[in-house]
Amino acid sequence: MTDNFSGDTKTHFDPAQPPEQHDAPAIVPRIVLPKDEIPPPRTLVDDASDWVPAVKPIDIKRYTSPEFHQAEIEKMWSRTWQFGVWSGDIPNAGDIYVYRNVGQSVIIVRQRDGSVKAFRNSCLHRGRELCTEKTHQEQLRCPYHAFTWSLEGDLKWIPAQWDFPQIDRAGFSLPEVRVEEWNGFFFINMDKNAPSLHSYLGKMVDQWKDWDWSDRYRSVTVERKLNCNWKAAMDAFIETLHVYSSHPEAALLTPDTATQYDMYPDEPHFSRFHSIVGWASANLSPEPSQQEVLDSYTSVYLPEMFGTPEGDLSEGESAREALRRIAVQVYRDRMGLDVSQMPNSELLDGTEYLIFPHFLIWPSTSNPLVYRFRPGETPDSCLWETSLYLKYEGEQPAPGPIVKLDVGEPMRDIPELGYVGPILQQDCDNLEFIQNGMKASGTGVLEVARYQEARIRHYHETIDRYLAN
Amino acid sequence: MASAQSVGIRWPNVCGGQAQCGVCAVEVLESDMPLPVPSLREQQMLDRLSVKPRHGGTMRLACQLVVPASARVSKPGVRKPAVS
Repeated sequence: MTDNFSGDTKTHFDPAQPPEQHDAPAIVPRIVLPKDEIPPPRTLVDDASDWVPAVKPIDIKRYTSPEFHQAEIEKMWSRTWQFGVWSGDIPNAGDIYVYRNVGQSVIIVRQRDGSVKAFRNSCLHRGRELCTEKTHQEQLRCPYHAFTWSLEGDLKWIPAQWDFPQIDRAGFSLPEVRVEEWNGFFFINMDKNAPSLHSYLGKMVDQWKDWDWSDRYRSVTVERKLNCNWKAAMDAFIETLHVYSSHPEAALLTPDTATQYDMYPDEPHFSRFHSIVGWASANLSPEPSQQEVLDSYTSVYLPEMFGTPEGDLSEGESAREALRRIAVQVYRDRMGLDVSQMPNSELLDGTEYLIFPHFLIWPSTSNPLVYRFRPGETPDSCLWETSLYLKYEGEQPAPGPIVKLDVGEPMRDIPELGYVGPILQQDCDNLEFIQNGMKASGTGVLEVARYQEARIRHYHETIDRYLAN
Repeated sequence: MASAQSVGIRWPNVCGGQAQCGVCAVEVLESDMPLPVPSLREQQMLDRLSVKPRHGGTMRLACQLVVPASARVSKPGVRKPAVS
């Protein structure tokens, strides 16, 4: 409780009748970022883009049709770079990660020279998967009949060799799968003729030179099955238009309808947004005071994150400035990290990149999230993974647990997710009802926003590029 | 929430007491009498809340809760009236 609050005590806002917004609000990051005391990464300002794909409805069959699902498997997933495993999860020679998606199974193997190879996870004898879960091995030995290959994929041993006269040992190596690294993440591609990963990512590689992820470790992964299409799940995380109604406690804190979205006509494989913290939603009228904006953070998120009860604005201080001051103090006191020179864009805000087709990564320190989405056996289910990659100082901590949840199991009770868990639960509350809703549609199409949901159209257009060839 | 507002205390919220935002959620630490059972509307919002009890109490929506007697609650962000 404090004595210097000077706002009135009445409730301002009426969510039953929020103000209609006929004119697009200013894109707030473009106003706020240049004014921040410590400049943001140049790319957030210099690479801002006004281009969006043409406005057109999206056919719901793209989410529900078995034929479209099959076309994605045959023409898209077979030729795109898919996130396989983070480097820190296979640090030592012989560490092996099993990556399965759309009927394919791949093992990603750390080599003795520190490099990484990937192989089709299938014994050349009778087809059993060589590995079935993350493991560490000195060689790749099939459990079924003991056919054995080296970590490099060269044949080492055949049982009853006299009975396999047809096998040419030199040519009986495990078939390799393309694997390449970006930013500590290994991606695989089933297409031997695909462009390199860095070429595929285009100018995103250059944009990321402003973020250093060498001091991150994976603190937790939650794998959650969902009863919706993989794209419907991903759609929930690439726009902030849903914040006001799905995460209402954030409405005082973030300008949900004034996020910056960037995509480029010649860059089909990534898009991004930047969402500001410390500026209220335009759905709230009249505009809340700066103290109210600050209080919303200290009353909802900060206690969950750090146990910090509340904070007061100093004379002439904006909510964003106060949030920075509190965050620097909290990181120092609670985690021993000096973030005093970190720009607000990384310390407070949320930047998110989508790497087509299924990988979302937030460079922000405040929201150190990575998502991966994989289709289920039908268009009506998927596997959604959420990971946190936390900053650390000193020796890198061991990677955190992998928690597996079925449809309907709560996200909110995973302690390692911290304040993120209850927020993701709010997203689940939508996603578990979206597939039935889509199938019940009377129009057969989704009408997505011209600007705020342009990233959805953008990646659908990229899917079409693959399906057309 | 209305009790607090009646004595000039500002209570963080977005929806103005319609059990739609969850921002007013309060942790009830002690109560002289048992609290009334949440309405369906309150319970549905409580199920969606992004905040959890931090002191072993019970989370309720301040905009819906009618305290039967006296109660001790915890709520960050609550502010006293302006001092002129």
